[in-house]
Amino acid sequence: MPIYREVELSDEIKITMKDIAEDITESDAIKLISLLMKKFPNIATNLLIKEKKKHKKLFPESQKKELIQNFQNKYKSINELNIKS
Amino acid sequence: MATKTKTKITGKNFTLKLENGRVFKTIIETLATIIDQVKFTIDAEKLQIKTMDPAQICALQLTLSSKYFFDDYQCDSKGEFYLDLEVFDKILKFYNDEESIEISFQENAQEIKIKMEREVSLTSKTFSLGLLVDYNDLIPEIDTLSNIKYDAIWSMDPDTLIEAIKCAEIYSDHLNIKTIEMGLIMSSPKTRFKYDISPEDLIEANISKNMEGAFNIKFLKAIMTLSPITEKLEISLKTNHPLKMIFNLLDGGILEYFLAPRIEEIDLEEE
Repeated sequence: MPIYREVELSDEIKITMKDIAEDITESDAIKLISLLMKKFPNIATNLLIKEKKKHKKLFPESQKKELIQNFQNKYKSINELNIKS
Repeated sequence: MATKTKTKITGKNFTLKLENGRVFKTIIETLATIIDQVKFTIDAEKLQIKTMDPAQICALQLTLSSKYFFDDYQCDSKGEFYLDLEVFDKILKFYNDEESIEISFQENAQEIKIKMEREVSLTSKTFSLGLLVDYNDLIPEIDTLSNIKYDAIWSMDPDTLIEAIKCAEIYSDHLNIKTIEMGLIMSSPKTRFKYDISPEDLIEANISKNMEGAFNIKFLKAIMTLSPITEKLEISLKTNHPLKMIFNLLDGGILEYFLAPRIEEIDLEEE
């Protein structure tokens, strides 16, 4: 689970998204990088993403209720599925 | 469903030993990303976990055989205990390669002792882990899930699945999986990403019917952190049923993982 990303826009400019974006997903990171490239086309010549592998909880305590509700809205409950073969 | 449970290990003490704890550490690390607290069941044959995530989207059963997984296993009677996996994971973070791990329980202390020891120097670290006394018990119907008859079953290289998950994640929070006569298709919604996998690239395949389902990428990624310790990954797919994944782990551990499909109506609305 990626929680640490280092985005190098040029030799001089390096953006570290740590702490401020602990829950960023890979797709969100790509969207953010795309936005940065649009905003700063002259400096976004040397794009590099480094990812440190770290396990992250699926249900962090601060967002637990919200995440449970979100998953339950989108996915069937494993025990309530019609699982007769 | 959720019920409050008080826990206390009854019966005789136990001592389990692993000459190398790397596989066990990876298992606990993986499970701790999905669930916070878990019930372990122990008897003379095995150490076992059956549980679900808090949203009840996935269910899993881990079985670690006394004969094959552990190097030394002393347990004469059945018992069960509840542990905080987050704390267990924090403790195992201090495990260093080449250390042995010993997990033991003394009934009078009502706590688990985890000892990590270097074989050469006999230098050791010992941690205490208290039992949870108040626990929300989420017990899945594993036997019912295990009895589902699937018509599309295959084994594949875990790295291929991981690649498909990462590609689909660019576009969506779920991965579509579809079986066809010519193999498998893994894709993102609107087929913005499509991965055609031919039968030749599957290790084994028994696909007699075309099946499909969409599954959450976070849950898939979380369990696929087992890939470095997986000897064989078998996947079964059936439309409107859970995705079934059986991980044959190094040293003889087996983890069965069931992941509920996405509700189709929502998917169509979003597309």
